[in-house]
Amino acid sequence: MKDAILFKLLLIVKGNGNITELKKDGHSYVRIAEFVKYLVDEEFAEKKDGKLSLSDIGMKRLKELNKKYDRKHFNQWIVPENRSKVDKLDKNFVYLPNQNELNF
Amino acid sequence: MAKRFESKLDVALFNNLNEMFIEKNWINNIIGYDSFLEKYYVFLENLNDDERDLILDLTKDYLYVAPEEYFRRLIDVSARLSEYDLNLSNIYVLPILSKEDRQKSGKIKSGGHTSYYFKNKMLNNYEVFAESKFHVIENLEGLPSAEKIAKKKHPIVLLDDYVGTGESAITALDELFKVQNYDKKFVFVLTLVSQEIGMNAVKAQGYNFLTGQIRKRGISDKYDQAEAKVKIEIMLNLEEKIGVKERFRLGYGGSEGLVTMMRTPNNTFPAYWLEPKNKKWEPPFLR
Repeated sequence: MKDAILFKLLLIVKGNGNITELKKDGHSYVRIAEFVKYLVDEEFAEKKDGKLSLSDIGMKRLKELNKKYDRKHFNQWIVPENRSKVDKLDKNFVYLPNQNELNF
Repeated sequence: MAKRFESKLDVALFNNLNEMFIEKNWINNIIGYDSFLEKYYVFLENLNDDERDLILDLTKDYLYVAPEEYFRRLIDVSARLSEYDLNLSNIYVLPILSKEDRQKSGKIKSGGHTSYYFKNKMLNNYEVFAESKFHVIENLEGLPSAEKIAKKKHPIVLLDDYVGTGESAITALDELFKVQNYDKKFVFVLTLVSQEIGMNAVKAQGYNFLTGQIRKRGISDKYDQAEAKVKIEIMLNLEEKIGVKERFRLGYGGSEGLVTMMRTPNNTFPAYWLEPKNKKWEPPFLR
């Protein structure tokens, strides 16, 4: 597996686990299932309390890849937090948040 | 404004499904597994959280019988005829077909397909069938007389790969008894897999019923009453979105089936086999 993909996968497992970015990169669901199987087979990730988390081996690999992909290439390793984004609004648009969707 | 794609799926779900499909051996048993898997994920992606949780839970119980399993399953069930007071030197096998289907020549149905296995002479290698001759009856005129059966004790076997509500089996039995008034103790409905409701319906009419596997209702028999009520509501809402016709709600006859055999019976929850009206996904077990 290419380091860039592995790096992204490890970051996703460490983060919220959502696979949106992998789909945006054009991977099929079948391919993502294979990626996840690889992470588990290679013991980079393990199941804890029903969730998938990074193992010590996975953390170590992530640190190595962090060094390789330093901040100069931040766009390769930052995984956008999509749920925090809103679509661009017109400057005159009066934004009234939906009371049911507020999380504070 | 184009809506950004945001997946509802996470890596834990992928890991759980990897484990589940390995355990169920679907990874080897389903021909074109990758294509099935892709459809299954697209299907999950289009569900809301409650629907997805329910489908994931139900899929744990889903039975897929691969075509390669048919012959062995059929032998295992058929061998149980030896537990009855019968003479197995001649066994009459009648595929379960409606009168209409019987008259339409050329239409291949599950009962007809399954009965073809009885033409395999390898059956005689099995001890209980060492001396047996199987007669696959294609039209009711070819049946032996009730007197002959009473005298010789040969079984009459009505066969299908799957029994859902039992409706087809009972109709076939009614047609059979219009032609020959057999003693019921020589008449058997034999099937590889049966919903419990179908089995009970046939048995209630006083017939022998042999099945390799009994299937309970997917939701009503799985959860306690209060939880089942909530889950049924979730499924009915999903079916509303899909555009399921009234008579197929929760599977034909409310069977709540979770089965795919050579084909997926309409007794299975339609979410698994019916293409939604908005065409947003292909069902994983299209009928």
